[in-house]
Parts: sequence; structure tokens; C-alpha cells
Amino acid sequence: MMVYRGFLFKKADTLLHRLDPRVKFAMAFAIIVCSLLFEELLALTVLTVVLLPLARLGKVLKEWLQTLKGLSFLAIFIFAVNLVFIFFGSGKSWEFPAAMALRFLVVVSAFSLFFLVTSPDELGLALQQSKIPFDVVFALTMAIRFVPVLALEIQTIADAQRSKGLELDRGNLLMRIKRRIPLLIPLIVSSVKRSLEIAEAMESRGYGSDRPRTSLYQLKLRKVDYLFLLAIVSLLALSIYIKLVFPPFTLLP
Amino acid sequence: MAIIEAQSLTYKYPNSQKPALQNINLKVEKGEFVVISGPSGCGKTTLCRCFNGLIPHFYGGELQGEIRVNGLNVKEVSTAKLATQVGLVFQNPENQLFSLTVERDVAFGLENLGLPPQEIRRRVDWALNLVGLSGLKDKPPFELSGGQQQKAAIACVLAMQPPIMVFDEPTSFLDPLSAREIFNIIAELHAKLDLTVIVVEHRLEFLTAHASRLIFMDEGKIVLDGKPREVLKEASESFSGKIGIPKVALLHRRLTLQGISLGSTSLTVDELAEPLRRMLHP
Amino acid sequence: MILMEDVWFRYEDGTEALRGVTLQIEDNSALAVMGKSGSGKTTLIKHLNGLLKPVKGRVLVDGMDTREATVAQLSRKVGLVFQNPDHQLFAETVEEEIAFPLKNFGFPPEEIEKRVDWALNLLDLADYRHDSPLSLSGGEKKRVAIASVVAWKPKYLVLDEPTLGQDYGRKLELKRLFEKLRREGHSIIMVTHDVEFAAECKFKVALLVDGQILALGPAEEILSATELLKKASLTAPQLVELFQRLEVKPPVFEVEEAERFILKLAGKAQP
Repeated sequence: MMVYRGFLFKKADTLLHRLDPRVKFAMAFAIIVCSLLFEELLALTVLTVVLLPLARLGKVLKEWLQTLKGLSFLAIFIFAVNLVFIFFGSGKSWEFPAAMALRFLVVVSAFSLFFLVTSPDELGLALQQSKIPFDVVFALTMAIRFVPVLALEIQTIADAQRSKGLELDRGNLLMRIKRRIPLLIPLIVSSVKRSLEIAEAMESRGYGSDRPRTSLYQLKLRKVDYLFLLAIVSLLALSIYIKLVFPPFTLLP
Repeated sequence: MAIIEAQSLTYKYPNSQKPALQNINLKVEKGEFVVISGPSGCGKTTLCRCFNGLIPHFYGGELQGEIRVNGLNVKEVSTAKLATQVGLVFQNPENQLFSLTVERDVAFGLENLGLPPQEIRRRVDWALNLVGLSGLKDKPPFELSGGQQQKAAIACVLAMQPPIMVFDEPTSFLDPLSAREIFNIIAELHAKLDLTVIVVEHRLEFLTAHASRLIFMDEGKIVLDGKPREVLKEASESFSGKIGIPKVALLHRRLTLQGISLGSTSLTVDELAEPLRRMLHP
Repeated sequence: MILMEDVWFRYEDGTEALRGVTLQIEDNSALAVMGKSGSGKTTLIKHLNGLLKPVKGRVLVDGMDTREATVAQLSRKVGLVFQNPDHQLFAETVEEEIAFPLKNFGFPPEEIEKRVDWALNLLDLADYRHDSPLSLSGGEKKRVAIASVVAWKPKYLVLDEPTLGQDYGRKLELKRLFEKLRREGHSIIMVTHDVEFAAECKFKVALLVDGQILALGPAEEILSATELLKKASLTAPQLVELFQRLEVKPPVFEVEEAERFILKLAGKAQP
């Protein structure tokens, strides 16, 4: 639950929020590529530390730290597995398993940061302008739009059936599954009905018109977007340079 | 020429035995404000769907007879094209808003029409302003009340600037106060813009005062059609068990039968209160 | 008797839905809970069968504290009919739909059969007994939903917006059903913002505003208190408004009554 929250957009008006969604994606992507380039603990630590001020800049530090906290169990697990198979197996340093765990944290928390500061709407727009068909993008944003509606509906259906004496948590697993049929059928029926109504409303507003579709918003890169892009490209270039020029290094000689 | 013209319109939904519409003949002139009422299942929603081509293009089924909207033959023109002629607002506000902000939803129809962004921007602001929702344009629909959602849905259709607007029981999910607000908006739009308005509705007590014409349907047929006062007078004689005739109209009729002369049928409380006051407190 | 004592409720997102509601529902009584959307009406009735438990205060159903009983136990006494029948119909036939709660409550098979027959007849659904509930019209679905709750004869029948989307004929049927059930000793509690219907039913009225009970009293009193109604975002029934314009008391809800009243007044005015 905690981890899930770390991927939900948090509304705010910050520099990071105002960045073009494509630049934000490039940023997350670059950080992830860098983390895959290196196996060294030092480099991966640097990458994690880079994310910290960014999360602060976007006023989502609390949520982002929650993601880290939620993932820490998995990170420890990865560390342990690597330790067992590599450290004891090949006699390599403990640095490698630690780096692997950190790499996992960097990858997931970079995505977390991206979703925290990018509204689904912007994301849709970015996808749309990246030549992804409108139907696909529209289906995606609509799914996000109806998540809270559906959650409420499931609750209501469960309440209605419980009021008719249905006890969901009684009996063995098979019985519990069977007891969910009275929830499942109304949910399917009302979802089908809902999609029909939505389709009807869409048709009535000219969906499927033969004219080429336009868009109210046009994403346009601003000065600050270019500055961030420059920084991202520099980071990538620097990383590749270090990777190519310097031999693998360790903290412990 | 009439803006809507239906001739012996009969329609059967796919897999249905009984026709939902039977031999409907209807002419609506430009600028009229028509209210259609009748018991559930009388065919009023079905008729609305014929106006913008959802029937037959979306629903299929058998459509016999002729229907023309602003000169276009509904059977031959696509729903997307008819959308610029007829704006349809539905019963359930929630399922008419499918974007992540109100503004994007209002823009949806205009983007489908392929309008340039500046024009979309202008019309979105204009429509939201008319329904009084400018302050909420960046809100996700989920955070709006039912009444606000329905206003947003009206703006969505309004932005496409169709000459005809059809409202299919727009207030049946709303509380009385929100319902009144929606009716006021509809009346205001009709007065301000050069619109033809058709409203399907149960709650006649708020609406008949605005209407220029009242139609009652039953079992797929038009049974009464005329000026609101005359139709209500006839309906209170023959349909009072089936349709919720406003109580003032019913009382008016009963008192008239008792020999109290009150003039033509009252549509509002004020209209009945006036002559009664004069009689009781001379 | 159901007792709500200083009941407070807050949803997870922090919304205070009930703020100190105290309410007493007598045996064999009729109550309409009225107010605008979001005033806490639905939250209130979900407390009656324990779907929601108060964060402060308590609810007693015939002496049983709802925090100490399961929803199933409480529902045996308090039957809740939800607003949208689509949210509960799932069985293959109308008959099975009505039998479902009876089975949950553990009635013996012969008794189930008897009660299903009774409920089908009461709601005029006998012709549809073998039909799929999903194939029915909106109004018929609503009747099936009511029948499935009435069948276990809960002492308190609670309905959320029973007139929503119903035409006039159906409202009349509903009113008759309420009268019948009351004669059999049931209590009826309905949530509604349909002032005309509440006036016709002549239930006791509780006005709910922002999670608090603003007023409680007989329909004649509450539904003619224009100022109170305004605070609850409601409007007075048409005839009440009419009689207020005429400066006549007491308020009148029915057309026949109004007619008699005016004729009497007219007799005086024109001797």
C-alpha cells in the first residue's frame, strides 16, 4: 500500500512539475541507464544521492522516501541472495551484492519520482505527441479516471451483499472464492453498462469523426526544459566516459 | 422548414419483439423549447437517440420511416457528423466525463472535430463560463458533485455549438436544488443562444413554465402534444395516475370542475395563488 | 427500537460525515431522512446494520451495540435496500435472487419457498419468477431488490433513495407497499430528497445538514418550515408553497384535501 502511493501523482506547483513530461521521462531513463552501466557501489550511491535533491525539489521527498522504505525489504532480499551466490561462491567483495541492491532501489525509485511529479494527463499528452495512437492513450487515461469510481463501486456492491447476510470471510479458500460470485457478477454487469454509456457519450461528441484529430494542448520545450536536457545528456556522457576510460574500481583495495 | 422532422418513425431494438417507437410523427420548429414526458419505458429516451443518430448507427435494430435533422437524413449521416447538429446530454453525469480534468473533457468533442487549438481554447472557456464552471476547469471529474458534473457535461456538448440541444432526464440523479440549477441553465441557454431545446423529464413542476411545447408519450407513441397549459389540462383528466402532473395543475382542474373560474391551467404556484388570493381576500 | 447516541463518523480521507447524531427510531414507525447530496444520509443508514461503526458514540439495535455484532446478525433485523439494484442482482432467476439472503440467514427450505412466494406476490413479480433479473426493466429490478430484502421480514426496512429515477405510477405503488408493511408491524426508514413523495407518505422527517440533525418532527411541521428546508437545500412541496402564499394554515399535502379546504374557505368568503 505504501509503495503503491509512491507511484501516484502528487499535485504541486514546482519546477519539476512544470517540466515537460518528456524531459522528466528522459531524466528517469538516464538515471536508470547509468545505474545499469555501473556495478560499483560508489557510483550507485552517487546516483541514489542525486535523486534526493530532485525529490525535494518536487516537494515529494516524503512520498519518495516511503517508496524507498517500502522497497527496503526487497532490496535486503536481493542483497542476501547475491551475497550467498556470489560472495561465498566466487570470493568477490561484499560490495557487489550491495551494489545490486542499490541498483534495484535506483531503478524503482527513479520511476517512482517520475510518476510522483508527472500527472497522468501530461503523460497521456506526451505519449500522444510521441505518435502513439490516440485510442491507446485515451484508453489509458480513461482507465486512470475510472479507478476511484470503480473502487467506490466495489465497496458499494460488497456492502449491499453483506447487508443480505453474505459473509465473505467464512469457510475455506474454495468457499471464500465462491462467496465472491455475488460481488463479481454485479461488478461485471455495471461495468459493461458503464462502458456502453461512455461509448454512447463519446459517439455523441464526434468520436470517430473522419477529420484528423487536433489537441487543445501542445507540449513545447521551454528554456528550462533545454537546460535539464543538457544536464541529462552531460550526465550520460560523463558516465559513459568514466565507464570506458577508468578500469573497474572498488572502495576496498 | 422544421429543424427536426420525423415521419411515421417506428423502431425495434435488436433482439426485441415489441417496437420501442410506433409511428412517431413529429415536427419541431427552430427555437422551440420542447418538454417530453411519460412513464418509464414509453420510448422517450429511444426518441432522443434517434435525433443524433445513435439509433440506428450505434444501436442497430430496425428503423422504419424518415427522420431529418437540420436537413440531414439521420439514417445516412454518421453520428460523428450529427454531433455538430444535435448535442445530447445524458442521464448519468458520471459516465459522460472520461478525461482527467474538466477542461480536457470539454475539449474532447472539439478535438474530434479537428478544430485548431486557439479555437478550441476559445470555445472551452466560453462554454465553461456559460455553465458557471470556469473556476473548476482543472479539477478531475471525480472531485465534482453530481450537479457540477452535469453542468460540465452540458458544457462539453455546448462547446460543439450545435443548433439543437437534447437533454435526456438530465436531473434524475440529482437533488432538487441541483436539479433547479440545471433547469435554470437550460432555460438561460435557450434564451441567450439561438437554440432549439428538447428536454425529457419527469419533474414537470420546475420545467413547464419555461417550455413552449409539452409532449406526452406512452407505449412508444405520442399521446398528447401541444402548448403546456392545454396538454396539462388534458393530462390531468386522462393520465393523472401514470404521469406526475404538477399538483397545482391537478388542483386547478378540480377547482374549475367545482365551478371556480381560475382561467387557463396554472403552471406554477404563483399562477394559481394569484386568482385564489383575489377570491379569498377580496 | 434503534437508538443512535451522539454518533460521529469520519471517512479515511478525513471527511466528517456524521457529527453527533442522536436519533431514536421507534418500533412500527416511519422516518424519512432528508437532506442534499453529501449531507451524510447514506452514511447514517449504513450505521443501522453495522456496515459502518461509529468512531464516537454508539448505535443500539433493540439493545444490541452495533460494534459488538456482525453485519449479518444486525441485518436480520435491519434490512437495507441500496439505491442501485444493479449493485446487488446476480442470480440466474428472480426466484433465486430472493432466496439468496434467506439461505444466508439459514432459513429451512420449506420456509424459504413460502417466503419467496409471499415476496413475489407482494411486489407483483410472480410472472417473472423464472426470468433473469438482468433482463428486467429498471423499475422491475428495483422491485426485485426490495422483494429480496422484504422476504426475510426485517423488523426495520431501510431504503436509500427508493424513488430515484422512478415514474409517478411506481411511486404510488411504493407508497402503498409502505402502508401495507407498516400494517404488518414493520418500521420503514427511507433516505430521500424527493419532497413531494415524503409529503405524500407523511413520514416523520429528519433533516440532515452537514452530518447533523437540524430538525426532527412530523412531515406537516418540517416540510412547511421554509427556512429550515432552505438550510437543507430543499424546497417545500408545491401545495405547501401555495397555501403559504394564501396565508392559510395548517399545511396541506394532498390535492383532494386542498380542494376541500379551498371550497370551505371560498364558502366563507362568498356567503
